[in-house]
Amino acid sequence: MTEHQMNILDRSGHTKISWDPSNADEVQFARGVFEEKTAAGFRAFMVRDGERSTRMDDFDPSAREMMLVPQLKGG
Amino acid sequence: MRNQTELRRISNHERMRMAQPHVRPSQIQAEAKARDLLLASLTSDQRASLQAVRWFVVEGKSGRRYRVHDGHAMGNVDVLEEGEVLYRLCGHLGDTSMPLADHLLAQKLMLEADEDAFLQLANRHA
Repeated sequence: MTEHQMNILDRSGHTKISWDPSNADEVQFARGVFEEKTAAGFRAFMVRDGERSTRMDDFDPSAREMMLVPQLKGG
Repeated sequence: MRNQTELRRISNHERMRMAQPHVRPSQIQAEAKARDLLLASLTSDQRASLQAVRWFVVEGKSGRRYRVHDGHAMGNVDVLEEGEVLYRLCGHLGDTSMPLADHLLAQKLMLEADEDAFLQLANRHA
């Protein structure tokens, strides 16, 4: 199984959601979480080893690792 | 009294617990978990810098460089130009009870991949 993951930053540190891109149910679940969080104001970033992270607006099941970050504010 | 060998074997979790006896174990666990994710998300240079001098530098898409300081989540981002600090920025997660390392990771990701948005939301300080 090729594991792909989404790390959702939260008070526990983070919550990890994993999926196998070849498993439709897992992909659907992960997509649902992604869309729920981004609709609630979370920002999504694709992370790749050794490369600059990039913003994501849409769920990409082929992405190996994503970070979902709650809203920031000025202080 | 623990000797050096014993101290080296102590996990990050236990080290934090000893340093902050007034902090709930769940908070220490969350911070350790967040710290592991932050370290795994940094480049080797950023990781070395953070561990040696408690800050790391992020380059935004504009080419501007930012120094992110560890230890606190507010007013901890220096805007750099030719190595000098122009001013400080304060932009952090809205939920301030989240682990510090999550704040630092969020700042890093925003500066790297959504620089304009971070500059718009952050407050500037001298």
